[in-house]
Amino acid sequence: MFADFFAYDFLTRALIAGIIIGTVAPILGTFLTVRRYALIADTLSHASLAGVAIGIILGINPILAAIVVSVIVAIGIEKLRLSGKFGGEAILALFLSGSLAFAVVAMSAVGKFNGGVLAYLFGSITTVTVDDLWMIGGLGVVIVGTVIKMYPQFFLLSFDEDIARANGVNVTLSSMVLAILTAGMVAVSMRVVGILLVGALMVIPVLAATQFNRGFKTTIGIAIVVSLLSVLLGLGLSYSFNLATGGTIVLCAVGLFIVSLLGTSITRRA
Amino acid sequence: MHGIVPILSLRDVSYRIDGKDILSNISIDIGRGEYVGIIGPNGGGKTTLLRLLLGLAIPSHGTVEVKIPKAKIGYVPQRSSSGEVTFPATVHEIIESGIFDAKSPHDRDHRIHDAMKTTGISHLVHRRIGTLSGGERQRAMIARALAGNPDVLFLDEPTSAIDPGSQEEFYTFLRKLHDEKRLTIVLVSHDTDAIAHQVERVLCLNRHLVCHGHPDDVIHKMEHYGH
Repeated sequence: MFADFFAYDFLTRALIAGIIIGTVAPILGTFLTVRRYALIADTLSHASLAGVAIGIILGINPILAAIVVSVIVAIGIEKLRLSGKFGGEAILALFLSGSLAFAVVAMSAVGKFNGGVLAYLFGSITTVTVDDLWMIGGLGVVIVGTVIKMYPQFFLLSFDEDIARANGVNVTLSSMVLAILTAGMVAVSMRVVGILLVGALMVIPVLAATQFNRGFKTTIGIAIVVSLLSVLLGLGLSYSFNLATGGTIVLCAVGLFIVSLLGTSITRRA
Repeated sequence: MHGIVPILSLRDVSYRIDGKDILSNISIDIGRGEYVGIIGPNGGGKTTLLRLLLGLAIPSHGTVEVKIPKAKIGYVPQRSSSGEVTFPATVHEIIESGIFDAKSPHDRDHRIHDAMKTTGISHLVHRRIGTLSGGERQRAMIARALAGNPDVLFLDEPTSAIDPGSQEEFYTFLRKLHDEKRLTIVLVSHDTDAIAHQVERVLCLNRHLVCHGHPDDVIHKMEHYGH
């Protein structure tokens, strides 16, 4: 089965994209999940759909349009949240619903609400182009580099915003950078995992990793392993049984989460 | 305060939310090396004053001045213990997060080691923060603050997560820390009796500065005015 991934160019591209996404998504996901802010990934994925709609309508690269729109939405979310006027969850719900509504109305208005859109919603391994791969790879390098550079700030931000502020961390800037990186990650991941499921890939491997009761860096490492296993298994099963790629990857992640939950429970009892 | 070099200075500070005065007309100096306790009833503005001193809140009126340029702040917030319980980090990682100016990896390790030794938690280095008892967790948070070589250590209700039997031991530890390192400590507590015997100066708040001075004098005044 996996030999085919090296025999066909489109499968090789999907495999490379999956490996990059599977590595980078849980890195950002760890900071978001422990900050109890994981829903931002889902909100930004819906903003990406609005970007895809704009891209399709204007005839420009949908992923590029999705990155631009989701970054703008990420900045809007953080600005509103840091203003303290509204609750974080309400702001996420506002942008999630608003983005989805815009995408549906815009695409239906121009008659583009068709099968092509489904590939963005649920992911498809046949749609990853060479240009997409360069974008996914480039953004992956930017995300990993930024996280290494800003790790102390992101760690403190996730642990306690007040302590971070008292220690001189620019919480507004760090929060904004984290949200923008998430926006980019979500936008480029949609080719493989799909807009509706990309948030799950940022959260479920992290939940599985936290079951092991390890330190922060080790938790990120375990989450990457779980995520990569989910992507590789999901891609393989999706190709072999002609299943929806994104859904298969996420179901594999859910399966690994259940295994980790049961495994660590049994180990603790023993 | 006479003869003590101020490290923190509040001048005519007021703080209002939605038209309601939380604090009014506070003017105080906190000197370098002082051990100050902020006491008062619930809702009296203790934590608000601490947040103003930390720069986490902006005064509606007046000025809060830190006299040392780029002062290093150690902050141990009040804990309900829920947030830290699920946070996936070891004691080592938590303490490491308090160091922003390590000269080398060796310097970083040395400061982590020192902070753990001072707080008596060296044996907990690889434990996850959420698996510690309230007292151990509080010591880990203090170790984190100390590893940053702070100019001032702020603690908000530090004994709230510690069982009553261990509170006396905790205060003794803080007193020793202050005496040995001459560290400036600002401590917020609703437990007047407990901290009155520990600190050098007490600020009594009830939306304004009711009185301040040596603990014995303040407690005498409070009894006199029926607070």
